[in-house]
Amino acid sequence: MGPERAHHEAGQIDFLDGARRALADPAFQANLQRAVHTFRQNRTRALATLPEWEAWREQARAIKAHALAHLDHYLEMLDRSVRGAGGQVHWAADAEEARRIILDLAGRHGVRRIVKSKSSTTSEIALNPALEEAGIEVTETDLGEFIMQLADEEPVHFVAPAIHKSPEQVATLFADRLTTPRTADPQALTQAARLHLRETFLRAEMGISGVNFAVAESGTIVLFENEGNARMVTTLPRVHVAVMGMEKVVPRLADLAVMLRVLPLSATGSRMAEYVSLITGPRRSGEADGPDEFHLVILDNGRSRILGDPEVREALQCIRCGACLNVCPVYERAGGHAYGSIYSGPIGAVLTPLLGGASGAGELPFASTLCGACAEVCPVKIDIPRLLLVMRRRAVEGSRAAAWMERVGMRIYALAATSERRWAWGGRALRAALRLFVRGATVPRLPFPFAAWTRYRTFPAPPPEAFRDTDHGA
Amino acid sequence: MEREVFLARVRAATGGRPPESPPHVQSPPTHDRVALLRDLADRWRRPHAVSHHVDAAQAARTVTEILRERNLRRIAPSAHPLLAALGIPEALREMGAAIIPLPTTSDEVRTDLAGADAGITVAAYAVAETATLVERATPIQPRAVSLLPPVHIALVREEDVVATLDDLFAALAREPVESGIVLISGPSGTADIALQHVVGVHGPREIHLIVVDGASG
Repeated sequence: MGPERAHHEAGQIDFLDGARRALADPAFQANLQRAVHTFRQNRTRALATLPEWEAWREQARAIKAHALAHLDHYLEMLDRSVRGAGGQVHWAADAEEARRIILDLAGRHGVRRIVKSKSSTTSEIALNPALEEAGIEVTETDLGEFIMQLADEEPVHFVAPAIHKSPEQVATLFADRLTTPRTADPQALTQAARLHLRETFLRAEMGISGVNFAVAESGTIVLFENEGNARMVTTLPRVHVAVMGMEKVVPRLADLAVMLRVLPLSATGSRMAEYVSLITGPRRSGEADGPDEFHLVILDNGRSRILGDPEVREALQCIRCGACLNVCPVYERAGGHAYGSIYSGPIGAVLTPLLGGASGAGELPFASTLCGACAEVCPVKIDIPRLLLVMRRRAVEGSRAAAWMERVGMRIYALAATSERRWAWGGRALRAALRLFVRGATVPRLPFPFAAWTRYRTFPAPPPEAFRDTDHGA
Repeated sequence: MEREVFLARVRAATGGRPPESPPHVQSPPTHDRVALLRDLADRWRRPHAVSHHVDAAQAARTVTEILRERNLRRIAPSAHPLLAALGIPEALREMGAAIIPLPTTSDEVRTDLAGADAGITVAAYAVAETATLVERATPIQPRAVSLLPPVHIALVREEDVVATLDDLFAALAREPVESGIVLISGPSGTADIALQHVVGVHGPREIHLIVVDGASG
């Protein structure tokens, strides 16, 4: 299941439709739930041994908030440091400009094959379809992303892209697409991917990565991973292009310590990612490997609007750990595809509409129970429930119809509630109306506008008389 | 987009106030040196991530034992002077290993290192807090030595073991930053298929950390 890889910007988000499809797929439900439960358990178990956890969260939050408050200053510093280290910096106002910059670079170097490591930002800007349209072979090299690319699906989770697939499903995919012997053993499947991708790494002329953090003072970009594919992508090809949302800046190398603590623990419950690469410009003179050219593409794409909006700015603190996805009762059932964007789960329900673009994104903030679990786990202490409420308020204010319905509804209620006679009469009228729809002991379905409510719930049949009319209520 | 136009939009959003100093970062409390080294060793007692703590005189033998037990023949040592000081190239020759000469071009990296059975490097630091070793890319120690071969052996001088990540970044910030620094905390691994942990995805499937006492140079 899952939508085909699509052009996000032109995409149409229909959360309810996506969630319905996810709920109708028992294998998807079982695999996803097992995955998020495991991530949750691992995280909880790891944090139980770390009394410093709350202090680390506060430090991480303070660093991100500080960097955002002075983002112009730190971006300028980052630009100077990257260029000082021999790298080149490109500024992209939106997705279209970012794609054009990367296509130009590929064209200038005669690039025919690109290897990529996992990057949500390149998914946000729908880079792969644009590269493929230009006749370039693009290979996702993170194992989960690689599986998704073979399946022609979008990642279901931005940390664990293919976690909804069973080994048998991956086996079928590999047997169909890779000419490897059929096996459902994860070890053998991983080996098959290793062999296939090793060749691809050795031939690719350009590597494209994301950026987890960018250090302003040194011009260093930081990549977290476990597989080694990001090291390959940034070591072997002649040209390395790193794509970052402009909010990824931290001021100093010293700020990385706490980020290295909170990110892996939040993402998977691991004490540390197996590899953290710190890349500062291209290879220096005398080095045998590393790219000849290093390019950093810094993307705005709606972020400066969020930055200038004090009520929602903190959404930019997000470090994409995925912890809020793993604890969200809605994400756990609906899965990432329903959110129609690489940014899924609670933070996605805020970020996707804020970043703008897709129609239907305004529905996402309503895809939440506001249980607050996301705020409890967020390693940079983003108050996601508050942001969801802000987004809901704005959606209602922005919709004349919704605002009118609510106003009229409240007027009618006020009219009834301010007179005992009108209240009693209204109750009788409603009970009489409801009786028209009673089937057995319940009201399974009501007409518009109440149909939306009864689609997922049943209403009890009304009693013959109101409680206040009985002896008890008198 | 022009940098100035881009930055002007950001400045309009932040108000463009110059920053006071960034937030103070606190280090977790650390133990004494003995406990520190024990912490480090404890975390490298996994099936595919093993630590050894030896005197300088035994370092070469520890390396050749690891190689012999696994029947690894084609070995790519970096040209770091500490390896020579510990007599490792000599020991490799004595055991009859095929030593892959240090690659100097990216073509040599692809052809020669990709065929190696094991890579041997010197880590600039090791961090006890997270059991992490830190490698710097230099002309004498290319990045791929710790990446392409299926087994990686890293040596680190005992005095280069630091307590916390804060200590590490403080040290890195004091020196010129190399083009490529990698923090390695275990073998290349994945859990992307049904959360089953598999080692040896793209990088080494097995990694050994040898902490060396009394090593100079």
